[in-house]
Parts: sequence; C-alpha cells; structure tokens
Amino acid sequence: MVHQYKNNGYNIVLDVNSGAIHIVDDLVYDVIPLFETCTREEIISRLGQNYPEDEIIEGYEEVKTLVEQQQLFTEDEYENYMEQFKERPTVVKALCLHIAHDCNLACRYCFAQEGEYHGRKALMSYEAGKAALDFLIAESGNRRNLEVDFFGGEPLLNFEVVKKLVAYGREQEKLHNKNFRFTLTTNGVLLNDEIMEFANREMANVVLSIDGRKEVNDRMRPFRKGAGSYDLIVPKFQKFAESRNQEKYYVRGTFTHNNLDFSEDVLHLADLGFQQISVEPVVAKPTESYALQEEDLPKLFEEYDKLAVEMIKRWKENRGFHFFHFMIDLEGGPCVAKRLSGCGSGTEYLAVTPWGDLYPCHQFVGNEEFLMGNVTEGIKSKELQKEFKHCNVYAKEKCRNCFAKFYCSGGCAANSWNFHGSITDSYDIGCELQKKRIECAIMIKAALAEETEGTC
Amino acid sequence: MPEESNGVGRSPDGLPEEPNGVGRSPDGFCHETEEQKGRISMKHVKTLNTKRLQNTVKRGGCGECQTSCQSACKTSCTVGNQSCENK
Repeated sequence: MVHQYKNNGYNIVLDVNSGAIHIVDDLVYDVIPLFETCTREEIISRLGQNYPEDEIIEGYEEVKTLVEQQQLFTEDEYENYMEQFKERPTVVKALCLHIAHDCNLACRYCFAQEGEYHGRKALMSYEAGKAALDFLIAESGNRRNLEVDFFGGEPLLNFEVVKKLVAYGREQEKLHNKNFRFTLTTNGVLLNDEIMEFANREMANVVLSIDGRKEVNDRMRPFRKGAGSYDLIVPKFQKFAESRNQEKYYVRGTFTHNNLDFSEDVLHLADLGFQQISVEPVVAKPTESYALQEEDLPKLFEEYDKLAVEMIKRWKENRGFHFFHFMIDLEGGPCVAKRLSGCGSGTEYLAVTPWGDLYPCHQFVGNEEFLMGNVTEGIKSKELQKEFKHCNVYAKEKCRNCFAKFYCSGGCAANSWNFHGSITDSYDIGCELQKKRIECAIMIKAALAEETEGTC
Repeated sequence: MPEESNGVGRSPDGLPEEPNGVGRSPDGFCHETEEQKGRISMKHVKTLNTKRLQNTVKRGGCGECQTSCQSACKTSCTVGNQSCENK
C-alpha cells in the first residue's frame, strides 16, 4: 500500500508496509500511481504531454529501483503473523492509578465527570495502592520497566498516598529487579515547591493540564464556583517546566468546537516558554455544544497545517518546541508487535479505581460492563481480556486500507466503544485528525531534513 | 553509486551529532548519516528513512517501551511516535 500526498510544497510518498518515506518531484509523483498497472511505454505516453520522454524514463527507473530495494509497493507480511501474535502471552506492564476520584476543578469536557467517573468521590488508600503495585509486579513477567501513572480526578488531592506509594515502589523494585517509571497527571492547582521537588526526583514524566489562551482555558477549566484556573496554574507550570530543564513533561490541553483555531493555543503555550506541548481534540458526545463535528474538519486540518509551518519556522530560528502529535520517530520507532497491539488497553495497560477495581483503561472506568477484576484477586473476566488481546488493526475493517494503521495502531478502543458500541470499530473524526497529524509530522521531517542539507 | 547527503544527520535544533556519528535531538529521535543508512542517490527521489518495518517482526516485541497513554495522550492512541527501547 502506498499513500502519496502534497503538503507545504513537498510531494510525499509513504510506503505503508515498510514504513519507508520518500520525497519526490512532480514527475515521480505522477509516475507512482501508474507504476503498478501500466507498462513503461504506457506511462511515457500518458505523461508525455507534461514531461520530456528521457525524464520520464529516468523517473520510471528510479521508482523501479525503489521497488527492487523493497522501499515501495512492499507486501503486507504481517497478516500471516497475526495468528501467532494473537496467542502471545500477555503481561501487565502499566497501571493508571486513579489515586483520587475527586477534583478541585470542574472542567466542562471531563470524561471523568469532574473526577467522579459516574460514581462516588473517593481517595485511594495506601493499602489499595500497595496491592495495585504488588499486582503489577506479580503480573509483569520478565518486563523490567513498569509504568505507574498517578491519575484522577486530581491526584494531588491525595499526595500523601502518592508519596508513600512511590517509596513502596522504590523498595519493591530492588527486590524484584524492576524499574518503576512513575508519572503524574495534574491540573496544577495544588502544585507547590515540595511537590515539584518530589516530582523532579521521582517522576519520569509529568503531564500538566492547561488548554492554552486564558479565555480558552478558563471557559472549559473553571473552579467549581466558576472562576478560571489560568492565572493560578501558569506561573507554577512555568516554574515546574524550568525546574525539569524543559524536558520530561508535557503541558497538555484539549481543544473543542469552541476553539477551532487551536493552533493559537499551542503557540500561546510555546510563547509562555513551554517546549513540550500536547493539545488534543476533545472526545465528547456529538450532542454536546463543545463536541467536534464533521464540518469542523476542514478548519482543523488548516490549523494543523498552519501549526506545522510555524513549527518549522521556529525550529529554523532555534526556538523550536515539540508538539506531541507531530512527533514521529522514522528510524527508531516502535516495532511491528507494538504497532499491531496498539495502546495495550485491557492487556498490558489497566486502570485501577480508588478501591482497587480493574478496568481496561482510564476511559472505561465507571462502565460496569468493562469491570475486569480487582488488584487482590487479579483479572477475573478472561473473556474481556481476550477481547482486548485480539483487538488489533487487522480486526478492524476500517483500518485495513488506511495508510495510518501502523501509526495509530487502530486508534483508541474507548473512543470506538463510545461512538459505535464496539472496540473493533473506530471514532471517525478522530481518524481523520490522526491521518492529518501524521501527514504534517512527516512533512516537518522532510522540511527539517532539507534545511540541514549539505551541512552535515 | 556515490552516497548522497541530504542532511538528516543533524538534530532539528542544530545540535552537533554524537561522537559515533548518530545525531540525536532532544526528542530522542535518531538521525543517522546517509552513509549509515546505505541510501541510494537519486535525481527525482530523496528517501527520508530506509527502515523496514518487516525486519522488526523477526525481533518480536520486547515490550519494554512506554505505553502510549502514559506519555501524554489519554484520549487518543498515538503509538507511532513512541520510541523503541531496544534499538
């Protein structure tokens, strides 16, 4: 499968099965769609009006060389691998610990219903958290790197337990030859010097929630009484990011139908000095006023294009920043096994409620249909586990002919469930945005490669 | 055929390459030289990467890499931008 597109003056050709990416001129861009179905002579005849014959032959030969080098029109060798893949032994390697089902903000788009996940307010006890870490160690097989995200609600509402659990994890990792990578997702309201110092010592990554411009952030991320959170959190986040040497963190925002010009929010965060930025599309019921609609897509595509061009400009001026969804590792990216299995929800990644129940991921928490077990008794619903284990890009009809399938790995199971009642479907607006982001990410690589041409 | 340098050997921020010739930008991305990649010089085509995903099937998945939702997303699935821990 080959995907070709034009963006920002670049003709880009992606060979989906190998992952090879080529930047081509107009001639080769026109030869490629004809290559598999036409003879050389037919191609010369069809393109003869636009290009000289000797050039067409030259371009044709270069395409042929790419095919011979297995960098174009490569076969899908993975589907046969699927049967073996589906029977892989699974281990648990990552937990999303819902350390607090409560929040000090009342974000309007919160999938956790202001932290309570359609249930009751609760804080995780140290005992329940300890049992979760013990469960993770016991279920992790020979995986050494174990990830634990302190999530909520707002995890800093239960910071004392976070501290104790980190101490327990550090003690246990030595005994079991494991390496805990703790992360923290916070709205910043309770952030202080002590917490920053602790996080800088113990947290492999921190995710700091902020939506961008003051009016955008405050509209969707108010306190319970209605006041905005921007003025309180920005100085703290700036200090925190600096104290982490501008790495191993993300400021993370959500854009909605209310701020379709979201590139301005990303750039606002960059102008505040943040260098690690993630701003994502909201996922909401179509009936919500802030939900993204299909008719928003052209504007959103335009915004991603605009952002990509501005990012290139800033990199060239040595004031670049990273945008999570434009990051793409072309040479050292994930292996096929990872790309087929996706996020690992329900198998290697699980969410734990404050009272120790297990769900496939944080987005399923509160939906009793997806209750998988608990941290003391382990996974009880083997059927559910199997269903998630078998969920991969080949199990999804919509993904089969999609060029993005090895980048998004079939997309988010929770989004698929929320929109179609099945984890093997996909959230269509999300897919369109994902494809656009991949196109932009590759274009940025092309532009930056060109920028340094001849200098290395 | 002579090797071509189309210059992805430097990090986007212009940092010099590491001593072994493999440049690594602050985002952890790898930027090998053209020579290291065995790239073929072409007039109409510049290849950005020569990775063959198929080769990673043989290695299987060690599973040590980061879970995507633990990095920053939480509401979308973004696997392609994760880095391999076993390069």
